[in-house]
Amino acid sequence: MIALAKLLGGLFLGWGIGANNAANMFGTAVGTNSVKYKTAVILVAVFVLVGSLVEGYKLYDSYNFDRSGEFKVTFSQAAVCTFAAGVSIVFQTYLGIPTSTTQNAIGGVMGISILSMGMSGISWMKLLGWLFCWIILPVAAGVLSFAGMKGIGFIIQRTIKRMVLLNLVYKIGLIVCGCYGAYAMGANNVVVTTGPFYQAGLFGSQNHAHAVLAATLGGAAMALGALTYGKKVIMTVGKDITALDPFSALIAVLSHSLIVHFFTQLHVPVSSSQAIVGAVAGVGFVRGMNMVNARKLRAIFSAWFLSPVIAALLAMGIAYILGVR
Amino acid sequence: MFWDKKEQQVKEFMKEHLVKIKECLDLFETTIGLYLDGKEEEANVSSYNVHKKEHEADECRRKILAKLAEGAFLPFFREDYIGIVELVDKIANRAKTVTQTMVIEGPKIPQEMREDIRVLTHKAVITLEPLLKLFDVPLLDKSKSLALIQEISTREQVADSIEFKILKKLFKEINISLAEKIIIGNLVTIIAEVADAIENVGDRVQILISKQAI
Repeated sequence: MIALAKLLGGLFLGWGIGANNAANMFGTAVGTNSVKYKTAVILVAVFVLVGSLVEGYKLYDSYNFDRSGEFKVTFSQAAVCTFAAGVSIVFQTYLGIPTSTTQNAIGGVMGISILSMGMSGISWMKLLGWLFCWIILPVAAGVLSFAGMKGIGFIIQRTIKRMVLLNLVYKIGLIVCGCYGAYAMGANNVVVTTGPFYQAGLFGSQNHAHAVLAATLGGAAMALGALTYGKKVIMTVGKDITALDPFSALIAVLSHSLIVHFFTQLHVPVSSSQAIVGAVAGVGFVRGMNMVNARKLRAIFSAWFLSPVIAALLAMGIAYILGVR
Repeated sequence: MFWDKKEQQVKEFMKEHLVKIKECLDLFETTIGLYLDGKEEEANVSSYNVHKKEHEADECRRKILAKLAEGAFLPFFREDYIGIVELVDKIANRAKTVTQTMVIEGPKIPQEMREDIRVLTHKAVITLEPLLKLFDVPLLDKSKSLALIQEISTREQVADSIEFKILKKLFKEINISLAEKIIIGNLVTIIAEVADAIENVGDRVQILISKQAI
C-alpha cells in the first residue's frame, strides 16, 4: 500500500504529460474543426494508452544510469525521483524557466543515482548519448519536416486536383497523424512515469510482462491527463501549430511522431514538445517564415541542460533530507 | 462519402447558385434589349424577373453559407469559399441595380448609341462563360483553371474598352444635355461593372488556388 502511494508521484507526472502534450497532437485538428474537443482528447487518451501498451516497455530496462548494472533502486528512491521531478517543474515554472517533463524526470533519476553510487558509478557515456539525442531530436524533426513538405507536397500537387478531395485528405490526415503522435508519445514518454518503480521492483522482477504492466499503468495516467485536463490546454499549447495551414500542420505532426517513434526504437526518452518545435521550424523554413523565436530556443536549451541539473539537485537534496539512500 | 458530405453539398449549391446567376444575366440582357427597342413596359416586367432571379440567387447564397457555417471545409479554405460565394452573388446584385436604375430613371438613349450599349451588355454577360467552366474543371488543375481565369480577365478588358469608347462618344459626339449624358454615362458604367464583378470572382478563385502552392 505504501509502495502504491509512492507510485502516485510517477502517475502524477504521467497525468501532466498527457494533459500538456495532447495539444501537440491535436491542436490543429481541433483548431480547424476537423475533430471536436471531446473526440480529440478521447483519441489522444486511447492512442497514448495503446502506444504505452504496445511499445512502452522498450525503454523500461534501460531507464537508469548505473554503470555496473548492479545498483538496485529502492521504492523510496523511485518516489523521490518522480517527486523531485514534479517539484523541479513547479519550481522552474515559478521562476519562469520553460521546462520539459521528460528531462526533469530523467534529472531526478540521475540525482538519485549520483547520491547512491557517487559520480564514478554513473554511466556518463549513456547520459551524454541521451543528451546528444535530445540535441539531435529537434534538428532531425526539422529536417524531416522539410523533406516531408517537399516530397509529400510534390505528390499531393501532382495527384490531387479537386478542392473537396484535398480538403478530405487534410481532414483525415490531421486525425491520423494526431493519433500516431499520441501513440508515439505514449510509447516514448511513459517510461518517465513508472520507470523508476519498475526498476525498484514494484511490479516484480524485471521482465517483459512486468514492463508492459508498468507501461500500461503509466499510459493510463497519461490518458487520464489527456481526458481530464487536455481540453483546457489543447488550444493554448497548440496555438503555434494551429497558426499553420493544414498541410504544414499535418507535416509537422507527422514529422514529430516519426522522430519520437524513432527514438523509442533507440530506447531514449525524448521531449515531445521539443520535437514539435523542431518540426514546425522545418515547415517554416519551406514556407519562408520564421516559426521559432528566441524564447522557444531558450526553452529548448534550458530544458536540455538546466532542467536535468535542477531536478537532479532537488532529488539529491530531498533524498538527503528524508534520509533516503 | 460520409467524410465529405458537407463539402459535396457546398459544391452542388455553388453550381445551383451559378445557374441562377446565369439565368439572372440572361434576363438582364433581355431587359436591356427590350428597353433599347423602346418596349419600356415589357422591360419593366423583365426587370422584375431579374429582381426575382437575384432573390433566388440570394437564397442559394444563404444555403451555401449555412452549410459552410456547419463546418464544411477546413476553416483555412472556408474563408475563401465564403469570399467567393459573396462575390458571385454580387454579379446578380449588379445586374439588378442596372435594370432597376434603367426602368426607374428611364433615360432617353440616343438612337446612335443603342447598338453600342447592346454590344457592351452582351460582352459583359459573356464574361460569365469562362467562370461557369472554371467551376466545372478541377480547381487545382492549375493550367486549366488559370487559363480560364485569364479568359475572364480578357473578356472583362473587352467590356472595359467598349465602355470607354461609349463614354467618349457620349460626351464628345452626342448632342444632348449634360444631365442626360451623366445619367446615360452612369448606366453604361454600371453595365460594365457586371463584367468587373465577374472578374473579381476569378481573382478570388486565383487566391484560393495560389494558397495551395506547396
